[in-house]
Amino acid sequence: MKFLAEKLGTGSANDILWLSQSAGPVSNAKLAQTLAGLPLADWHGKRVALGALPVIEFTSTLVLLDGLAEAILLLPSEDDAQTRAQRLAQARIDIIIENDGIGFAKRFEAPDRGASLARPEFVSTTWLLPTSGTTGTPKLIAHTLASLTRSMHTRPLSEIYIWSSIYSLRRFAGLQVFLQSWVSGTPLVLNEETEDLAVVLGRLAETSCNALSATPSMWRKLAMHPLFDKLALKQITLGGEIVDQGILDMLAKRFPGARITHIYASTEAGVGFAVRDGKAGFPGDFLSKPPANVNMRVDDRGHLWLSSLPKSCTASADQCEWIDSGDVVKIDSDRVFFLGRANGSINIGGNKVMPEEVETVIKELPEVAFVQIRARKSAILGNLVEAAITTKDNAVLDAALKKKVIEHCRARLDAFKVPAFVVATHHIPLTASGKLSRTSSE
Amino acid sequence: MENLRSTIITAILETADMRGTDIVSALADDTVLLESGLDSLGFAILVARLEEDLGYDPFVLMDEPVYPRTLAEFVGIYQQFAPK
Repeated sequence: MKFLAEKLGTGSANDILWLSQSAGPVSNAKLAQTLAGLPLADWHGKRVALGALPVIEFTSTLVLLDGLAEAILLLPSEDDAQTRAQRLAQARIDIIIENDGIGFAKRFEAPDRGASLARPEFVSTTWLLPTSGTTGTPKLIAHTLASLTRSMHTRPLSEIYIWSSIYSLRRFAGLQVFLQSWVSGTPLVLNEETEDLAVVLGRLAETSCNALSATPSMWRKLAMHPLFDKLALKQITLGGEIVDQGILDMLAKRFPGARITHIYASTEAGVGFAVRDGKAGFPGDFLSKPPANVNMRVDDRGHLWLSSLPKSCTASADQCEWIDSGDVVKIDSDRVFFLGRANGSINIGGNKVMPEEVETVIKELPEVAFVQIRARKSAILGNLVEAAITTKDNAVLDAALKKKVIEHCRARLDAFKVPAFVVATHHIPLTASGKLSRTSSE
Repeated sequence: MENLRSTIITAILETADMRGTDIVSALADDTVLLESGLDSLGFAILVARLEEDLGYDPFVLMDEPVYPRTLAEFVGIYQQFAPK
């Protein structure tokens, strides 16, 4: 498959691609004819950003643009205006598609059956995926369809699975689910990002979805929902956060016989691998016998390095292009466990918080002398945000000031970034260079 | 039991207040937690607060993870793991 839409020509017309609330089942033929009715030349060779869109618009637009546009940029929904402007400039974007988008849901009702299926000359599309970067500054990582699907199974699975994803398809992990379902010809059940969990679970049960991807925190949340019992899953995938043994055990017990896979994926390196032995972490063997073309090594600070070059590049060869994943690991009895991010970034149920961003906001308060944002372990969401504060001489960190700190953050930050706890501290560790010390968030 | 239940309800209300969210007017035994007005972030904060108040986190102590659906199940878990 050279580009996404090429796949439409290889399957049978009635193959179901997506099950969507707003557009119903979308078949191969329906999408192919709808795309054919669009003025494709408008996007040919252009650099296009995708903003917030209904999920059916998002998936359809990706199929439209891959192989047609010069670049596709996936804008994160949480960007502020300044970051968004930076990303658009950095990626030299010509066209932004957002809000109602191209109107696929409506066009599916009356596909243009007479239109020619011919497409303008193939363009190798660059996919620009945003990350917070290892320093927390917005960064774009360039991919191609080939690099994104490199480690995916291509055998047809349409008879076996109906896939869905609880995480947003525009996140790296969600995008992998979208692409894997596309590559293997498996129907994908589409859920809106903002939908109520009861609605999503009802849809998954109704569509007989049997393969589901979510973060460990989202699996815990699903397990708390009365409709969780309605699911009959054969494939369970976890990703986007460190996976602990408890969640693997719960899922194995609840879905006996299901295959449980946890995925490690690095946006920076554009590679990932899967672990299927039901245990947290990954086998130490992976360091010497790389899985799926991903070479790995661990440096003396515990950073995991990745190299995505073909098999010819081994861990001993210095010519490989190695990328620091920024993930800190520890090796224990031939098992490698993830501890957290080297830059102190805190993962709250799959959402990443850069401590500096929250610290900057709290430092605006006149009572605060020093503040350090750190992770506090949570059995429910992996971590919570804690602010450790030293007050100025005349201020006391009492209940009123704690409340003021939280309200100040709430007015300026996403909910998951607002400290859940504000504690007093007299000692804030600094590094030799006078910066706040951010040892790994163990 | 009644004491524990009221500690938990107070913590639910305080957590919601801190986060600027509303809790359904009458919390009952069969109130579904995820429909009480706490989202999963609120729930995680609630569990961490209760650890400060009560001195234990049953979700860390349990060998086999159990995920409560209703308020009564949630209180029951704290009851079960209360230090003897």
